[in-house]
Amino acid sequence: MLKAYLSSLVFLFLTAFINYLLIPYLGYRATGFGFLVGVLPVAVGCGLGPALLFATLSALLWDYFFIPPQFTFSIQNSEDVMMNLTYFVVALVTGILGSRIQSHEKTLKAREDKANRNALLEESEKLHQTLLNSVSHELRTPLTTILGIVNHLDFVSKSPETSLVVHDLKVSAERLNQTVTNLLDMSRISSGALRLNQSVIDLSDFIRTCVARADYMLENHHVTILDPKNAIYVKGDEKILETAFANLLSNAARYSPEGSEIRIDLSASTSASNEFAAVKITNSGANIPAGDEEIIFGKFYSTSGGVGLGLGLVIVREIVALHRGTVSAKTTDGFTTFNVLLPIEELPDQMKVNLQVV
Amino acid sequence: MSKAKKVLIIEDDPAVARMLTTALSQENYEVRTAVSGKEGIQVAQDYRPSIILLDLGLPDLGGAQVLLTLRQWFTAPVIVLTANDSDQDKVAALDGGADDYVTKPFSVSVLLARMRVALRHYDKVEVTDSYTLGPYEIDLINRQVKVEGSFVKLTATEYDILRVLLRNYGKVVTHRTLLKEVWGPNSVEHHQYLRVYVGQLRKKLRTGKKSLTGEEFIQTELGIGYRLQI
Repeated sequence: MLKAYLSSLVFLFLTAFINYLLIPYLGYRATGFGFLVGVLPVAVGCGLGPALLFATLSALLWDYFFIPPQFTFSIQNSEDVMMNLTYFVVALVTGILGSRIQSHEKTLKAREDKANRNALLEESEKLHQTLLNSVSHELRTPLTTILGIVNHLDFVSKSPETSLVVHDLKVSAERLNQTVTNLLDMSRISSGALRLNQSVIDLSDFIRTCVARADYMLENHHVTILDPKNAIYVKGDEKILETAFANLLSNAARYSPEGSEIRIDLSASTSASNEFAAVKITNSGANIPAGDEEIIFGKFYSTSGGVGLGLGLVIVREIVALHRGTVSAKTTDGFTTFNVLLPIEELPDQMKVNLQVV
Repeated sequence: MSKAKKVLIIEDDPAVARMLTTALSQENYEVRTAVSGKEGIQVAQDYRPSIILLDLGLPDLGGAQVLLTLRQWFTAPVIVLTANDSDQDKVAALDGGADDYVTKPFSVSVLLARMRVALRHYDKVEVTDSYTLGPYEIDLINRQVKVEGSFVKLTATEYDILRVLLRNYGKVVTHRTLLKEVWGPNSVEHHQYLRVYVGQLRKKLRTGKKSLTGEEFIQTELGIGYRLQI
């Protein structure tokens, strides 16, 4: 800002100096045009303020140094008075118009920059999506064949030895499939190419959907769901959120003894004056070592003897963060609880009416 | 045993095609395969299959393009196979005339079940007015719903959702189709809250038994829609 005014002053004195040298050749009147020519570049280059400064000071300078009697502000000739005034007005108008051109150009340029950036972003998003899709296709197509054949063999195998081998094959293929899914999830989330497809979700209904879908992992456990007093709604992408809860449920099942209870506690909680929907998933066993409560959400953390890449909880944390929520873990008295907090979504009044029984 | 149903598999991966051929032949389907979209369209014209399994990731034509061409004359069921995580393609295929979808890697028994449902819907348009499904008794004429023998009161919207899903029993119904059928073509404002309505309906359909919950009766196809099935 200051720089613009300074450059305007420097330019003014330069113009004045050149004009002063030209007086013997052009006469004092024609030099006025020299000043006028100076206003335009100042207005376009430096903006309105510097241009007005230039116009005012140049009118005064012209009067003081150029128009006889020199070195006074008084003017002998009435024609010169008119000229000086006209000059001042024209210089002002030129300054204003010039600065308009400048600001207009700035807006255009900013708009163009933004458009370029968006186009670039969209391009990279598209590229990433295409790459992910083809990787996904390449990894999953052979898995389809493997799992299909394994299931077929499982169905027809007669001898105990073969069925044992086939069972191992099946478990391995399924584990590979899970790893592929985790890797693809992780890369999708960390690419920034993830667009949330948000809608309003009834938390208690949604958690039941998650549990129903995770049925095959939970068949050796008792799952209890404790509903909140009043229905709680959150806003989110159901598919992506489900990935997070599926990971938490799978952990709860894997790290607790068979036949034990997994409790899911849904409630509304207030933290830092914001209302949050809390989902607490508690299982017995599998203590988180004290001091590791944060580290477990880091990349590649895995318990000794644990299976997998250690991406599950990273995915959980990233997904919850995308939904402006938090996740934490704690072990007390042999029970491990993962607590997910998500911002509560208020239903509009019309919806509340719609949900009433008619 | 009625005459064998004819299946056309349009899939570029030879191993997947062979695995499916083996599995389907065992279930007494007569199978033909095609490795590209163009070939698939051609074979479909000569072979006149009862059902088509269409891979969405074909090298020559996009699955959507193949589907569009097929649907100009082919009215029997099409089930799409996809390895893609993004739901856009699946939803586009379903809204573009596919009957159902399975995501790779899929279980063959699930695929077989989807095929049976699609074929059943195509063979006879069931016009029944009352259904008894597990613990549910639904009377479409009197608009009455019983869960485990006792009446449940549904709002008009909940009832309409149930009716649309019931008419498509076993088949996936996309969010868009459901919105259109329940609220009419200008239903965008309900899109945000569709899950809330379905959640409320499922709550009313919950049973005392642990064996079947509302969530298992009306299943969520995440990011796609819903499927009613027991």
